[in-house]
Amino acid sequence: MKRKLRFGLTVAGIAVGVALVFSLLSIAATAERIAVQQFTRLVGYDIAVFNGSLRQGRLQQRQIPLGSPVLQSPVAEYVAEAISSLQGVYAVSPVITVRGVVNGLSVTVQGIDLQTYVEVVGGVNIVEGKMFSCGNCSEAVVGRSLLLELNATVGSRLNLSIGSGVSEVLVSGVFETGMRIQEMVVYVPLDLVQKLAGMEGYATQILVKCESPRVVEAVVNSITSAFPGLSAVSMVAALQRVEEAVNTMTAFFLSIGAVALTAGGFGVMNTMFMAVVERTREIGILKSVGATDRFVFTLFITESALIGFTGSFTGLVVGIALSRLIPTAVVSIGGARSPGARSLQPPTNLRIAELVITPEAVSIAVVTGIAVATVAGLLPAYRAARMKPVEAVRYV
Amino acid sequence: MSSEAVVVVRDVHKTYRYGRSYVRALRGISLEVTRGDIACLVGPSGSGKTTLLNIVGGIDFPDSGAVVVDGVDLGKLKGRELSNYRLRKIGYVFQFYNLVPVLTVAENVELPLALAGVDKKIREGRVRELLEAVGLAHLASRTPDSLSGGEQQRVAIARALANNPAVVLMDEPSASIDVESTVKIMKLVEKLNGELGQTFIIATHDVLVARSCSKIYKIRDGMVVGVYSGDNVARALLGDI
Repeated sequence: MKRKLRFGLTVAGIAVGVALVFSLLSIAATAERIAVQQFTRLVGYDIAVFNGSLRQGRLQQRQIPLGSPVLQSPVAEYVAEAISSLQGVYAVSPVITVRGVVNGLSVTVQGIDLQTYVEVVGGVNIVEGKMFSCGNCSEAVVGRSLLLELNATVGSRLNLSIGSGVSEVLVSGVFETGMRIQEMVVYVPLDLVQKLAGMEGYATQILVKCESPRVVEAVVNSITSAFPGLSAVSMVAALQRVEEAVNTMTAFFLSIGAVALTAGGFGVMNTMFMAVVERTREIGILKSVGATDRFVFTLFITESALIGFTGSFTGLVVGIALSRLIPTAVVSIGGARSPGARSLQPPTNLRIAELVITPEAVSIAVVTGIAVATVAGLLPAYRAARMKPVEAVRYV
Repeated sequence: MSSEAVVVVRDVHKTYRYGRSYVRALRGISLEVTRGDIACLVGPSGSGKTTLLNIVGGIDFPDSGAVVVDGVDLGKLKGRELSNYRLRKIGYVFQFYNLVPVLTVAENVELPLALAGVDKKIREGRVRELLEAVGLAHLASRTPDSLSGGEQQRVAIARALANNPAVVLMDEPSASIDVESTVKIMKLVEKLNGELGQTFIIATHDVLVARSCSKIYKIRDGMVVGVYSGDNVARALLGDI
């Protein structure tokens, strides 16, 4: 009974380590998928061009007054025209992203040029109603989540204010992305936003679609050469940075799991040393009836591996459960702590994410668990194998 | 070495160290055991009987001297060869039986056969045969802790005989059992000796055990002080053992 309990607890030690490694790897893989999905959904374009002074705080303060709804230093709209003439460029679209207030609720407002935006980004996924009909009319396409917050429908009229500019807009359509954060946005015609924000002839970003992914880097170089004050960011490079960030997170998670597994390994070693001491007489009997050192070694190392095997598969099951529970728990806690009563609902992007279980995560967790337990059992097994039978049979 | 001698012990010395003190367990002991004998090592506690058995059994080693069992010089054996010697040449019945508690009676008897790589079906037949020989076939599926001392002793004998060893060593077979069981055990030993020609070397200081012996070696302070066989066995028993 005592042995069984000790075996169970040791298995639990390995299981915890494996569960942690597996769940953290799965969460990292899930996070990576979400990040990449969000990224690719957000960006249909290849290059984003913006004013380089964005990164220079002092310059930005000079160009954008405190309290301005504009989040980035502006880029003259004619730049878009110049970029469109560069070799390898398929289409360009100027956009403005500003903070605005709709019916008292602070939201992100995107001013888009309907015709070029569709060409560059591929349009907006409208699920109800339609895209606004003209480039300067007072119409808006609203995200599903925002529309629910506003308690509005297609055909509703909303009060949109950007800075000191105010206008009434008609909800012409509703779009969905499946991610709440992306659905808290209002699309309105570029001209309207320029007028309300006092930015006629300017945009905050110029989105560029290239003729082929192969020419993206060349176009980036052409843009930065032609307009030294502007920054051009390739989305491929940005995606790589996202993946690098996820990889860093994965490595961090793995180190946490490794610590847990190491602790589990010491547990196995302790248990196996105790087993060797308790079974000294048994080892003596085996050796005196003809068991070789290798047989005794194999006997104990197999037991360690068995602990690892049982722990790993138990850990895998627990890990799958943890992988489902942890994001929900974190999101719930995060939601409860979010400032602003209207944002209390947890964002849907994590909750709706389907858990990514990669064969790599399964094999890393299971193989590591078995390996740690087996390695931890080496020394006790060696000690058992080297026991002198005459001393071992006398052991009481 | 006599052509019939299955165990030859020549001038064997063994000293144990306990902390700073030394105990000379064997002081140049020499003896020969003939194949088919029931040889008894008789002497008081601490005379070196068990040490000698352990050395012959290959689980302890002499400081000097030579031990040859069934033509095998133990001084030349190491590692796997030594394990193989214990497995095939020797059957050891320990004073406290030393059965593996987590195995059944049948599994305990099967253990040396399994270690020797004997086929499963042959093993099962051999185990049945051995348990029948010691009269315990009906207890095959029991674990050792549910058996009496005498029964455990018989299981240990069955295990010792599993691989048809050249010699069966028995250390104080009567030490942990009552008189009735001792008589039964010794009758079993005589039967196996008579039917199979099995050689036994028994360390004892019990007259009940010694009277079954065909040869008695009197041991004092790690040396043989007298050898008795035939009619002299009875004389030795009446003497000071």
